[in-house]
Amino acid sequence: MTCKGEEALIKTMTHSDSNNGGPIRLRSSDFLRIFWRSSFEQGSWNFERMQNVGFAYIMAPAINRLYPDLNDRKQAMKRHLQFFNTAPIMQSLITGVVLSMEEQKANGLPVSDESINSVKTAMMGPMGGFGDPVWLGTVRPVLSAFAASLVLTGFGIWGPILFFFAWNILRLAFRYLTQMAGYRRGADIINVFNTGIIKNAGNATSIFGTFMMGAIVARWVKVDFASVSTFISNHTLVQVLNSTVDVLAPIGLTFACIWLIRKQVSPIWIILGLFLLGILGYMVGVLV
Amino acid sequence: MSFGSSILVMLIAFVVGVDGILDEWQIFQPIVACTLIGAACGNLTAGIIFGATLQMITIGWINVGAAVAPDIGLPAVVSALLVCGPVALSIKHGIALTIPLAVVGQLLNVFIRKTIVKITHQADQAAATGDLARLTRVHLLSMGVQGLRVLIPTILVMLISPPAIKMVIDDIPNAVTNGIAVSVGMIAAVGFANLINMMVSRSLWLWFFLGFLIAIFTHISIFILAAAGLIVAISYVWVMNKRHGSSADDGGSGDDLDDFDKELDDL
Repeated sequence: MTCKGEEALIKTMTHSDSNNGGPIRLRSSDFLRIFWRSSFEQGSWNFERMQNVGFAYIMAPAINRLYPDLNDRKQAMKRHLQFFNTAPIMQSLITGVVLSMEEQKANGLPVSDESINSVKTAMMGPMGGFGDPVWLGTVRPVLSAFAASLVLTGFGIWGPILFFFAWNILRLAFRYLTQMAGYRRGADIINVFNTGIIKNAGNATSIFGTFMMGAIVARWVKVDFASVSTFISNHTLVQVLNSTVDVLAPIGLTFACIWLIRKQVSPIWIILGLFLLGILGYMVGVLV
Repeated sequence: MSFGSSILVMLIAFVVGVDGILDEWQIFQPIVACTLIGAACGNLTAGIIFGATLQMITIGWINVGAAVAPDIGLPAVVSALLVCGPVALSIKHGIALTIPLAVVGQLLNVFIRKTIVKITHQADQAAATGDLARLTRVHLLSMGVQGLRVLIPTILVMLISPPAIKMVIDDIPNAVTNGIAVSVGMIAAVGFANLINMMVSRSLWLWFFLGFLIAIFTHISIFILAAAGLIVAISYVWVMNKRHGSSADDGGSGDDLDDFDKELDDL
């Protein structure tokens, strides 16, 4: 498909050369502008069409370059104000694909509004389903848990610095690479996803993320029970009971919370409940 | 608080509000936002420690799809301001305050996401006249409204005199404050539970227990665990693919993957 597209593009090139000044191509400055704007995609997130204005805002430099004619421009703006919502960081790949289609359309290839929109809608679901668990469910929790551990083990300012730069370097590199890959491959990129790259990357990330969740729960969830020695005097028994409690309490509490969340109890109510538990436990002397 | 600090705090509050909706730069995450507020108030250390403590609680609060989680940016800024600023609250008081603030921030966020529809309709008008500059302005204006979502409550808190806040807080009985301090370690479980509930499917529980058992019975640092976990996860998926390599639907995947890798290398 890309090959055919390029042939046709060359044809239009030679054709329009005879008319006025060659095909319209996006410049590297346009790509950079679009890349920069991508970091502000969700600014106008709304409950009607969600990221629609955001997507059009990102496309604006391309629309400006590709459609000098006012009517074409109006149509392009309208086209990109349709409903859109995906995992923010994955939007760059979709934008890349859309840029290649828009460029073909601007040069007279038969790319319809519907085909551009259907590519957007076809990609946003899978990209959201992949991107949110990977970026918000794994990368961010693991990085921020790292950073918080750094702070609480005495490295102070290095925690926030590591978190901010590691996240943003990963994010910006990923956005740039996928935007350009999407542009080069065009709508053809959907075939790449059918091969299982998304599935494999998703599987590896969820295994890693789940493993790390287990480790983080073990290190971070604490129920500060008073030592059982306040109640029992047998020394070995105390040690055994204390270490059993240290192992069972974090995982037990976590599962209790998962159970409550599955029962549709709002996390805020669970937190308030735990506050109450903490206050009562402290007053009775069970928690220290 | 000096004039300079106040201006800095307001600037940070605005940026945090914007980034909270963007979910891009992660300046609104407590570990960054509280650190910045601490620096602006001239009490960096308190900001960093408060931020790290709050971070563990909010780690699992993520906005997926169209769902709006309890807000992180507003409580991070306001609580950090009260802890690091002239009120000089203790960290446990600061943590206790984040919960009501998170609910307020969430309600404001939902309200803005609804009412902003009126502003975004102007983008349709911009499209009708082909006015790209106006489209950009509409987007940035909506983003600014989200910035005000954190800025305005922050200014309101700054206007209350520190002794008044201090007096109210001091009236809270000791048992309550200490009880809340005790529950901080437990509250972290709620965020993790939320995350685990979203992420972990039946086939993955084994990995969860593996991580848990290794971390609780050994003293291996979390960095080494992460590196090992990454290697194991990738090799596991790779081995599973090799094993099922002959099956029809995964047949050509290797070649196409390599192809995609090359494509990325070329850039």
